[in-house]
Amino acid sequence: MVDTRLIGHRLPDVRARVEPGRLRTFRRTIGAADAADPVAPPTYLFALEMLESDRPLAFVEELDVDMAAVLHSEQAFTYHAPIRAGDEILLRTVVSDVFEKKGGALLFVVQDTKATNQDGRHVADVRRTLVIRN
Amino acid sequence: MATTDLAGLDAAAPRAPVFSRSFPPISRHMLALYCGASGDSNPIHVDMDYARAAGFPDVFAHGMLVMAYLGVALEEAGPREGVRSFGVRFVAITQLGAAITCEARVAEVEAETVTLDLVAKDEAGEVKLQGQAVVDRASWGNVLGQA
Repeated sequence: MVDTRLIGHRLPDVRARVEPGRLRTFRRTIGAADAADPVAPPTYLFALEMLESDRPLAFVEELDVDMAAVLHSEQAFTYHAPIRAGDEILLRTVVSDVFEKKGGALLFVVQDTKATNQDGRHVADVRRTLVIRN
Repeated sequence: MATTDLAGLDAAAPRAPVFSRSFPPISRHMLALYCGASGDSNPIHVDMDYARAAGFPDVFAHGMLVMAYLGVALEEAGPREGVRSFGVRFVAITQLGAAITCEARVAEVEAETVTLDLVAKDEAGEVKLQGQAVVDRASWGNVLGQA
């Protein structure tokens, strides 16, 4: 049975400063042309959460499943304003859906994150869908 | 131009990609670097013993590394402030050694926005990630040509 009690579960908030050095390392690693570019690349919020959280894998651990059985199913970003080095980003995540496929062999968990900056501006929405192989 | 004539002859011919960007084969070293750079410390991407115990033949790439490659290609292709959204589905596991090519094609043109179909595939043409980006038609107009 799908444990729909997870729906609405809030993950711990993450307050993350966009460290210039970490941003540069990320850009260099993925092969971006200008590593010194102070604007966060399109997928950076996903990394930022793990880089600056006390529990980087909380988004898996809080599901109380075997981490080795978890795969990333989908990932989406909606952008409202740029994120720059030095910004202080607040990431608030809630489990927005839980459903199963293939007769329960696969359990999907959808997590929605709202990102706001130090001025309270809503900068992005992030949706992460995980799949757990039962 | 000859290419235009050819395209005109075959209505089913696929449109030229908006971008096609290739990346070097993904090494174990790259996975270790991405683990550190991204904070994604899931051992399944760097610890072969762990990956095997979980039923995989070896470690494999972070899906988000391949999505980051798509992001690099998007940033290189057009003005990033014109990118409204970017999403993918992870279709297949990206194995060690995969040389990823990221491509975008125009899927839909609307009054203010253009939707791009995105794909990341390996050197054998196997699709790893499939997705879409919605960009502003005004700021991406030059990139998209006749779109």
